[in-house]
Amino acid sequence: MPDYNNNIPLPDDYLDESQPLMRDNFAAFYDLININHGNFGAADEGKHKWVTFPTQQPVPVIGANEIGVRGILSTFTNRPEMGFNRNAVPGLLPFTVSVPAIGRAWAPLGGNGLLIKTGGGAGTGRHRTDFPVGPEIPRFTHIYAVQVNVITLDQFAGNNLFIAVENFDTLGMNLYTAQRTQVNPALMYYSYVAIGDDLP
Amino acid sequence: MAYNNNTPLATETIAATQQPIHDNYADIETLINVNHVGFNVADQGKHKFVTMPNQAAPGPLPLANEINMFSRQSTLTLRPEVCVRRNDGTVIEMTSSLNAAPGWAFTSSGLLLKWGSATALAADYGAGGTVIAFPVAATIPVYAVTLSVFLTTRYPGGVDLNRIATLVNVAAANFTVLASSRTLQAAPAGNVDFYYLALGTV
Repeated sequence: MPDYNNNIPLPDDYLDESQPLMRDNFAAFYDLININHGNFGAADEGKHKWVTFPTQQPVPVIGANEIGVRGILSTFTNRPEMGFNRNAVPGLLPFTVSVPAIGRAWAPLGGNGLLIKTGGGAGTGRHRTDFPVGPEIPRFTHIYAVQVNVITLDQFAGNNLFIAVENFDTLGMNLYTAQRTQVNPALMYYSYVAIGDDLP
Repeated sequence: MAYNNNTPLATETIAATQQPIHDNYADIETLINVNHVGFNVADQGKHKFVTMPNQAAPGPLPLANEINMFSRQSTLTLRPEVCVRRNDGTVIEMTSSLNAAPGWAFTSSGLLLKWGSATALAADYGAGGTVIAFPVAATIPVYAVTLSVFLTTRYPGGVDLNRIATLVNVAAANFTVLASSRTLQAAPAGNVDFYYLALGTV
């Protein structure tokens, strides 16, 4: 592949000097456009066949009326992931990153900065369950919603279980588990889903 | 110099065309260096990132076997949002959301999630339950179809109130929740707080 030369032709060049350089430039431009793009003369000329994102650092500057898409080596998954950059939000809003591990799963909710976490727990009566932590899991800085459902291990006993949320925060939830038909605390297993974000 | 897409001309000498050709080459490299990995390096032609200046709403319409990704100023969030538009004209604002409680968010497939908290009234026990309207504002998308609603009863203070919130009915603009005793088939001793999470389409 010929090198592109952005400083030709010069005024004192002879045509036989400039001609091969200009030809090389046209070839280089053709070769570059042929990467990711529909090339000259093709039906899809100028469009993107696909878009390859070598991972980038530092974060590119985004204008006020713009939004950026880029690749980054994720510290959570240790692999290239895609995300959006906004003008007013530092860092990246990832939309391909996720850890689908049972009990400690999380994923972005579409690239808007929201994260969804799902997992499980167990307890009796009033108790607390914390969201899993680890280097592969972002921490909520804000949390907006939780839903908790009883896991029925026995179809008859499970029919008599009930769970309520006392409140929740960025680290976990305070729950209350009881028999459904009696005002008695009861041991039970449950699953949950939580929505929040890790934005500043 | 501005890019000249009409040079060299057949009647021009090399002396006349050298400068516009030279300028065009420089302009090409300047343009390619925006967003792209430039000439003469290992990743040339690939994208460092893609910056999308806002397009006029609703956005460019793709051909039948294509899909367009672009940015436009959202009337919901009042900021640029990444959208996809299909050949049928539908647009998904895949980065739009209200990160708050109550809040909402689009998934990248166009599903709309809404969440929040509300109270079902004990007084509505004999009337089929309490109708809970989704929050309404110019900056909140509206469901065309509500697919499902999930409820979790709330016990403030961790006290067993012996009350339960149960879903009765789902509509596009609202859902109905019955407040009842948990252990009896009877009205509760008081109102029942709950959290909800809804999924639907626009």
